[in-house]
Amino acid sequence: MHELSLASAIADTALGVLEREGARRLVSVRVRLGVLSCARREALESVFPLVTRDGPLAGARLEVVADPLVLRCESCGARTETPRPVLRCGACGASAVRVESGRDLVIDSLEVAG
Amino acid sequence: MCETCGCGEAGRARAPMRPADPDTVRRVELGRAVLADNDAIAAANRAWLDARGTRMVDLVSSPGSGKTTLLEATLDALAPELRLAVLAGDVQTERDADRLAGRGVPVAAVETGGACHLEARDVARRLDALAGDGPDLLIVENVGNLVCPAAFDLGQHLRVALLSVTEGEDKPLKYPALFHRAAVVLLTKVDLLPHLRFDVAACEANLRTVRPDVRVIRVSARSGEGMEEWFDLLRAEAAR
Repeated sequence: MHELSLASAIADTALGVLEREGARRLVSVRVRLGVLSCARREALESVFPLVTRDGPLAGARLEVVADPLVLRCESCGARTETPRPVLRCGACGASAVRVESGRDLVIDSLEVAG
Repeated sequence: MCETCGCGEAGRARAPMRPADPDTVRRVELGRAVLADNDAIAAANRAWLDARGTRMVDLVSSPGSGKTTLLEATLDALAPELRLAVLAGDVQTERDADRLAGRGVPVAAVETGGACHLEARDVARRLDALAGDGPDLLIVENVGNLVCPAAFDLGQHLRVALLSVTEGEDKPLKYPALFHRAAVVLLTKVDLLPHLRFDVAACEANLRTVRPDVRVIRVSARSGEGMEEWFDLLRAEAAR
């Protein structure tokens, strides 16, 4: 269960942003969960409260947005999206595709207060 | 709903007029990978190894797919001709490192203490002691796990996944993130194929679904099948 490591990293980043912004409280954090990011939404949501129990992160909400796999076909040039981990062009079916996004777990934005 | 004005547009909140108001919520755009810190350490590891002409190969697989057995045979075959070093990660105990010791190859153990994967900093801490003299190859035996190690770049130059034929041929589809990140897949224990209903062609097709350019090598550390191809791959990696 590496989601605890991931949630801790999110918490650390949030604390850094609060300090940089001169804010006192984290209201929410939105993350984009890529199809190939190897984290599970349910696991992230269940451990997030553990790393935001007290201090300036207490009570913060976690919003998880699914990020599709975005592929660029090297054969026909099409840019296609899929919610499934299938490396195949959605237009022509070629497997010579480059992953443009959908591999990472990204902290998209935060809401801070105070 | 947006907490600034109740407009229902989460994500559209504007910077407030009075940021000092403790109840005013403002949005900060970030766009930063959660594992950016790990990735930075991994990049430093890679640069450190590049400066010494050392290539790092990370072996990942589920528990029991034969990583340690493969490594034993690999060290026996290649230690006479290449300068090798091994970092073995285990959740508990140093059994894997013990099995690999006594072959004239420096072996370091990382007991992750419950963590299900190695992180770039686990490698960074041991680079000096293990690879300070710039061996040809630093082979990492990651923790046996098909989920978590995928997320953590260690600074490796090549990631190799092992998939034993006693596992299902649909494993690549069940654990796409890991197999997507493996440029090479060793299909292990192929000496058992006559006794199993394992569809090799279907397995390779599944691997290509998540990694179209994957190189698959069928090996058996017991019978020796495919091992020379695997050794050649490591020789070529060491010569890079």
